[in-house]
Amino acid sequence: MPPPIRLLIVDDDPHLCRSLSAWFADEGCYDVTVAADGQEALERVQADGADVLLVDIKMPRMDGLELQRQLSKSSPGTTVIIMTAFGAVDTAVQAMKEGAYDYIVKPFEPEGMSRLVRKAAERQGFLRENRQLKGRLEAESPELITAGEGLMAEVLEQIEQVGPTRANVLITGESGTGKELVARKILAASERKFGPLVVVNCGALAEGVLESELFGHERGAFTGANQQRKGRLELAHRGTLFLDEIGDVPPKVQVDLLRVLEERVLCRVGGNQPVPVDFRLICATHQDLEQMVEEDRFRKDLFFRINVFRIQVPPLQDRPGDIPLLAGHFLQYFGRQTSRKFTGFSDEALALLAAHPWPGNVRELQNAVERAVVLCAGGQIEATHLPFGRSTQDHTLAGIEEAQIRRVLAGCQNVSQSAKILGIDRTTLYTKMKRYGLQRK
Amino acid sequence: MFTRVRIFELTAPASPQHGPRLLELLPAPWQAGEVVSLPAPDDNRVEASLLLDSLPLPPAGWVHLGLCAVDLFVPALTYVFGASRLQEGRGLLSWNRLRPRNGAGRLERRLLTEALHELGHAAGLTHCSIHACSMHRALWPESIDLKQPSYCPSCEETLTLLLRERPADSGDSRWAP
Repeated sequence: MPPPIRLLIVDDDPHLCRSLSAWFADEGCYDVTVAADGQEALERVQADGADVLLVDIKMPRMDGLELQRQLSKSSPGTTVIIMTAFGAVDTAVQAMKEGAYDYIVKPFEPEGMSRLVRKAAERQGFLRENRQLKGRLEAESPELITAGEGLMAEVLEQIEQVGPTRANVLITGESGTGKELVARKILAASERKFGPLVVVNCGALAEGVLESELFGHERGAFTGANQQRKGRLELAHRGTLFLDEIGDVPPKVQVDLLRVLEERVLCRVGGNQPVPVDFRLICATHQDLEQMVEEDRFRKDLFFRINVFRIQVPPLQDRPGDIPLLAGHFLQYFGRQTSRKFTGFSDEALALLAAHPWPGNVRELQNAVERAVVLCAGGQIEATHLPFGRSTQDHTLAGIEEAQIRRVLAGCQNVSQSAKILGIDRTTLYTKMKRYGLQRK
Repeated sequence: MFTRVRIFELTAPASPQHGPRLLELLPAPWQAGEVVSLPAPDDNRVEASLLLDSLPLPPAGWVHLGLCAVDLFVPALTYVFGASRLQEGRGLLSWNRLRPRNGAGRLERRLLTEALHELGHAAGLTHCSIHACSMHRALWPESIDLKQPSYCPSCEETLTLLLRERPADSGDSRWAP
């Protein structure tokens, strides 16, 4: 059952308040309170909140118009309906211009009033649901996980600086460093955070397809174009366009893209009707665009357009503090996916993770943790579960022997007990431990 | 049991008298009591609570229903079909807006449906969310036709419990003005 709608009736006429209060209380879906003037109403809203307010215009201390103004500043989530006498409709219209939801002329037709308040309550419900969904969306969106040390501290600062502006951003960095997550973080810090985010991987599409994908096409523009289709640039209207692998955009599309960025209008493929577009552009690449400009493989003017603010995302090996954090995050993530609980990584596994050069950056780390989750039967990830850890991929007799000795040593109190389990004498076990570089517990 | 209904006709003698027929039609748990004539209000529009207060409080075992032809209103609302206070044992119903443009049979059905509605309130029932139940709130005359002149099972059960809680019939079947 949905929570009751909190209705506040604001009028200095106690008979009217009593009558309306009884009327709505009978409906069963309203939690009705009354206030004798705007000041009292404002205090009630600030103390207890309210969803819908039925507000008279003429009241002592604070009138309905002033209450509407105050509420639009302090509690913009409330819905105000103005109650007005027949001769004061102009004032009610003024209140609507200042943000009131609607007005109703006294005395009210029961049907009209009931419908209006029900509609306002429905709107309030949608607003509440909308806020909840947005909150959930934010909570479930992938995050940029970082300890915020060293070079990443600089990246975070840059995101904070550029986020609220309208500037185009170029994110550079090796493949797998999380450039898209940086773009999402910029979006989250911008005014357009509730607008659309349209992501296009330019490297994944052939020239003709990319052109149609970006700019859309008119019906009959080419074989198979059976109907008009909006392009990604148009879909990003009032939002953000993220062009990944911008360095892979072919020269002809570079020209078209530049024109759109300069004129803020586009023409769909096969059409000549200009379509206005308003989007913020964030580009990313792992390539050296300056070098490409020098080699005439990327247009200089387009480069200057997109390179208004540059963010360089460091490779994972340059941010060692992030490795255990990211590994822990991915472990929890894959644990949730497989409905298993993990306590974490062994010291040896963490040491291995820290020592690895990570040429594939965060993406490689993610894959390594996913693999470890598949291989791990217990609750802790061991070094042997990692792809670059020794022995799990080693199918030689020596490799298998080493893995078995390591496992038994880990589960026993001392070397003697381990030797007994392994069925060899203690001296032989010491020799093998020395050979494989294993330490006693 | 609090079930016998006394109807007060608050209409001019020349006006139609619906009280006797209504008493015949009332289903259980309501039992037909008697019809008493009272002077009709002077105005064409009367504040419902004032007219309701003019009805005498019922003795134990009885419920009072006023029946009038004048338009009823409450502050801020242009009209209401009826009025009553929860568990007070008295209700008020106007048939002014219940008259259909054609078909007298419909008026009888509307009257019965809304009489059950006000009697239900008088006994302590609140509005019901089931559209066919007579305790569902009707905002315009045609919406009364969507209801049944009866209570839904849930309201009926609650009504039975409420009536049991009321004082038993004292045997005083006469209303003393």
